[in-house]
Amino acid sequence: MGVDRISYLPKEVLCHILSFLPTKLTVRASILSKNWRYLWGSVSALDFDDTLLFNPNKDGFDGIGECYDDGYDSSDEEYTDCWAGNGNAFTDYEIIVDAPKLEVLRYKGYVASGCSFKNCLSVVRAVIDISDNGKRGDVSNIGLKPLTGTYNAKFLSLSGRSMKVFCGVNTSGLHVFSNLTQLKFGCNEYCGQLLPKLLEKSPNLEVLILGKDNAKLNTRDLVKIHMEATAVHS
Amino acid sequence: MGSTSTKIKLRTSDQKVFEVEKAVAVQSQTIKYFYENGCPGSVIHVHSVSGDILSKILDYCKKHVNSAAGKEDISPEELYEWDTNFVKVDQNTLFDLILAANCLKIESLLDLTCQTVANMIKGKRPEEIRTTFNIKNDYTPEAEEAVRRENKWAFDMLGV
Repeated sequence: MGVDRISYLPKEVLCHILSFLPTKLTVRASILSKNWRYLWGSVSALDFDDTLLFNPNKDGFDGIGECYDDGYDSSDEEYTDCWAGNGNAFTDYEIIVDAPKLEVLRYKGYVASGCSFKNCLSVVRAVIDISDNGKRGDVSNIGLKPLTGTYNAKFLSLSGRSMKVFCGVNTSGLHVFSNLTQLKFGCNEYCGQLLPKLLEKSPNLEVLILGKDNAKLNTRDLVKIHMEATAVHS
Repeated sequence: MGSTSTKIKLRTSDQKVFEVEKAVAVQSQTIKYFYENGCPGSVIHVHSVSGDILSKILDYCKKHVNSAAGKEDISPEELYEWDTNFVKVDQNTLFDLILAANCLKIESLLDLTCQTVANMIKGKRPEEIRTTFNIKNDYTPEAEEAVRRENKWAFDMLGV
């Protein structure tokens, strides 16, 4: 029998390891041993997929929805209240993430699912993947809500699907990304439209990373993106 | 980047001395701090790191410095592959690398190694995780049940 080295890593290192996992798994780790019980409360990353609320049978869920309620405590980053459904997909709910110490945010959801982030000013890394499959009602105003968790982000990644969604919403309320130095996006035909707006709002951007979602992108689109981006910066 | 001739001397926990190019050594924020705030030319002690581990870590830093500086023609994909192979080591070495990266403050290496451990946790049941890392379950059955109940949503469909 070998030695348990992982449990004796410094607490901050263990939390760093857990920060690479979906939040659900970081919570599950509490079962391993007493040493792991409360670690998840100190993990500074939140990674959740709220599309599961619409498709409770997806991803091994058998009729049980999950909900991160807004019990995400502002002082010690422990959210306390979670909710198991009765087998039906949620149709009307609001998730509010209030997490002033959160540093990493990975969020996947539908545009109209109503998840919003307030008080997330410590987030330095945000990976957002929004799709419009669950679209209900008017999304023009609600559409930018997922970006409210990214005010101070240094790194922002937007999936190709998100680029498409954000193209359809009213972007006049887009905030300035004053700390953003790296922007990564899924490259598709919607980039040309959205990218100039993003660049305009990112005065300190240093690196632009084109994601692999570029199957539909041709040279003409790339030239167009380049032209529009240049126009913004000249 | 400074002149290529500048070297920094490092002494490990097992008293091995390494002479390292400055650009490579200062990938470690800790070494950078000691270099900038210590006597010029003095040997920097890296107490908590052995020679074997430091040698591996310097390989990593060298690779990343060279590729960033364009000295080595390597695509991001190739570098990613190199990183992937770099962390294909036994668990003991992996944890030594993590502790060293943490103490030397080499952020990208800490991310790489911690991500590797996270991948070893993913997709496993608690019992499998315990076996993988030799974690002893010190809960009583009642206490374990209480932990499960505490965050029931996270354990749903676990089937254990």
